[in-house]
Amino acid sequence: MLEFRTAGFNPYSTKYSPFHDSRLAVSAGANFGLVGNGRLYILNLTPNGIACEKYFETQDCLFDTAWSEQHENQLLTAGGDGSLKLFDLGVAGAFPVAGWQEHGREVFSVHWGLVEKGQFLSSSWDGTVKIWTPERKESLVTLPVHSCVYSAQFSPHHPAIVTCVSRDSHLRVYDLRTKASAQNHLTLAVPIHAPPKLPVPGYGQGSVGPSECLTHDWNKYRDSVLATAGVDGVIRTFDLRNPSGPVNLLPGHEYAVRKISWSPHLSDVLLSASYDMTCRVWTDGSNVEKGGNGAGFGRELGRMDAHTEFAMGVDWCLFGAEGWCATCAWDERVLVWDVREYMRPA
Amino acid sequence: MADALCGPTNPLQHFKQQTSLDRTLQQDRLTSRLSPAQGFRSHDPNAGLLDPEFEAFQAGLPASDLPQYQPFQPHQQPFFAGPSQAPSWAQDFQQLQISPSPLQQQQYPSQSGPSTAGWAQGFRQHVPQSAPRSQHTSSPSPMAFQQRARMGYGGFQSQFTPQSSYAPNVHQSKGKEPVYEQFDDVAFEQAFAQAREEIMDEVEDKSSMQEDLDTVHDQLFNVIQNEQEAIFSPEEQAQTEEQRAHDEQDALAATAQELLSKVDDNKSDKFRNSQFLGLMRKLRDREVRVEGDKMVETVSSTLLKPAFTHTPSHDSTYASGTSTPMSWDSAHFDTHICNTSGCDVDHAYDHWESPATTESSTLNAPSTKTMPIFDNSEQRPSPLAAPAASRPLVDTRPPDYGHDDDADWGRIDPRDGQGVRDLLTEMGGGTVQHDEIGTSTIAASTPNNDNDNMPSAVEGEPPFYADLRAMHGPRTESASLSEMLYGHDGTLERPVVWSSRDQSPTREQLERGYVRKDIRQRMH
Repeated sequence: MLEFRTAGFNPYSTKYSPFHDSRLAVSAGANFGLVGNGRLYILNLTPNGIACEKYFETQDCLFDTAWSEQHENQLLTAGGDGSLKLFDLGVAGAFPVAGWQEHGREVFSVHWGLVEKGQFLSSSWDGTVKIWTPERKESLVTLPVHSCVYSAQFSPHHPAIVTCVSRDSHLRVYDLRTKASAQNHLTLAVPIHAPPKLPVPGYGQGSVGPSECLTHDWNKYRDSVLATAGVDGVIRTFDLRNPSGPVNLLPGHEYAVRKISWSPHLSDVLLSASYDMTCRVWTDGSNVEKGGNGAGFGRELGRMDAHTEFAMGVDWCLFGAEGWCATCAWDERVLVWDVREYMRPA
Repeated sequence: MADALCGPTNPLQHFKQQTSLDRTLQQDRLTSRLSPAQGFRSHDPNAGLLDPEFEAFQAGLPASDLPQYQPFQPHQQPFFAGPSQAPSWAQDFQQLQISPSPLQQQQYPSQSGPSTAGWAQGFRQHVPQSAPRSQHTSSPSPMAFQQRARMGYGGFQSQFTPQSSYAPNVHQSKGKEPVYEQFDDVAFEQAFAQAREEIMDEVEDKSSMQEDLDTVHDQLFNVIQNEQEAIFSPEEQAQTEEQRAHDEQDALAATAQELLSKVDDNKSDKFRNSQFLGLMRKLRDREVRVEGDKMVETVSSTLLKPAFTHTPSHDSTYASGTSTPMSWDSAHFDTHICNTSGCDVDHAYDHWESPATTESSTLNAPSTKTMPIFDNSEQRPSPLAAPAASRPLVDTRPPDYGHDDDADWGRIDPRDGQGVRDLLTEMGGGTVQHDEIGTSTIAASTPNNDNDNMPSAVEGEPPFYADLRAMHGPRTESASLSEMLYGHDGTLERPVVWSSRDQSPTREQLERGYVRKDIRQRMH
């Protein structure tokens, strides 16, 4: 396990570069992001450990960051002052090369288009998701959600599909090909707290109350599958072909789940970071070779509890062996580790 | 100004959200439709009756020319008694005398507002007293705490109050010209701000009464608060600001309490030693407050601590018993020469880390017991810190830490990182060389210092200067790129300010800031 200390700043998010296997970005804020400055770290994995290649200071906390998919040196940040900033590592100086200010409140997530790589999106506490292109000053599309949006993503399989989860416990799916009628491209709104179709052992039947949904992620292999997680500590998987409720529930986290990420290597494995200070590896039971038969029960595969404060961000390394990941937490540490070392028998 | 759809809420805010919703799509459809008066279902009984009045209004005639509804005027007048600096659209409506139907008259209490908009008062009567405290009903979660902390009390912050410069602009009506006055968003929001202020004033009265009954500690705090207000902010405006800030702290304390109660049952070591939860406890106990974009410990915690014997002159303004919080202000971090006779201590450190200066210690300073495997914070030398030959051992722990088992006396020795320092002096004349992307050029080729084999922080982290142009000259290499990306309007290159948002930091301040951060890292 490698470690880097972001002294004086509490990390919120970490992302591996899609271009370099040794480059990592961490967005952080002082005073746990409540008040004070923000900082964006660019870290390099070296044989001697993790070294900071560069960092950028910002006026307000940086809640999220996303690497550009079309330019290896550029990355985007989501600011607590409602701003989006594009930084370029190849440009000398401490300032971003582009910035956008439309959101009225804290921007909480940014995501770069994985198919249409000239676009990115942002989601904010002002209840909107905005889609942008780096070449334009104004946003291309604004998707009103009317609820605090904690996480929004492009589908990794289709350029026109955008999803978001929000405070009102709904997973919304937008199809940008549809007309911007009264629906504003909204095509699906899935209640996250709905009971599952099939009963899940260890989890009571019937509907639980709605709870804030803090994060979601698209499965990288199955193009209709997503996972969501939030304040109730339960990770749920959804299949958009059956949008009435969750397919699987993965209970186990004691407190709210802050971030989840599907593995880029294995179609059934996901990683989570939680306010219970642990990062856990899960399978949703869909792996046929493991006897899941495509619809098995999910379970926890392993747990890493080296963090000593709320765990905030996780990301998988796209390169090399399939277990490497990076996590960050409010203990001012970024850990790079191999999930295979933390697996435990069923 | 958009309001967040999460975090603390109250009915007024909800109402405002409804008014500020983007309904352009619906409005598009509405305008193309026939007006409802033309034979749709429900017909307004007052419609025909009001027509001559509106005509008169448009023609600029005074309402007294229409004598038939005079008896209702006394009841109507106070309702539209707006603020004296009301915008023009409001003025128009004051001129407009509309005869009410008896039903309407019952709904609106005839009440005269002394200073603010009367409709706000009427609105307030419909909004029950629960309004400002209703945030307790929203679901408690770490996220909710964060939203409250970031948004402040009630979500309306003083920085969002709109500019109030509306000259009374009486509309000059020209015959039958349609009166398409543009709806003034700013004025509308100001009316909301006023309404909220009134509500807040009431609540402040109540809450301050409750606090008096609360505890002696609180009383003491209030007394100090009031004294300070009397001394430092004689203007009433400043007083209300202070009150609001105080109220905001109350809300924050309540939220912190809420969050703590959620994790109360968790007795694990991690949660007991959590810095964040420690901060929450301090917020709850009001040992810490938010000042602008900083968190500072209040003087109330200092009062409970034993006084320190040596108070250097530069701290004297803050040690006089006032509650003026001292924060991470770079002006107080200079490696000064202490004026006190017989004091030969290196003040770059010990005024920050000794127990007496709790009022100026920051939050990022609790001591961590576990030494990380890869600790780069200990290795960064401070360029301005002169190593003292013999230094007294200092206790770096917060004064109320309470655990005696992890005493780490003398951990912050100025000789820490001396190896790196010597190396750098040897290599590059005392400064770290950086290439254009900020990577230290010595780092790659130099073996590491004597302490351990880990790469030191000096390699990776350049000394922070907010405006690198001061050293490198104007940015030229990226001109075309930034032109392309619209970064040329200057807003992107606004330097990041730490301590005060008003002035851009000077080079000297930044160097002090570097020392400052160094100390902060060392306190971990």
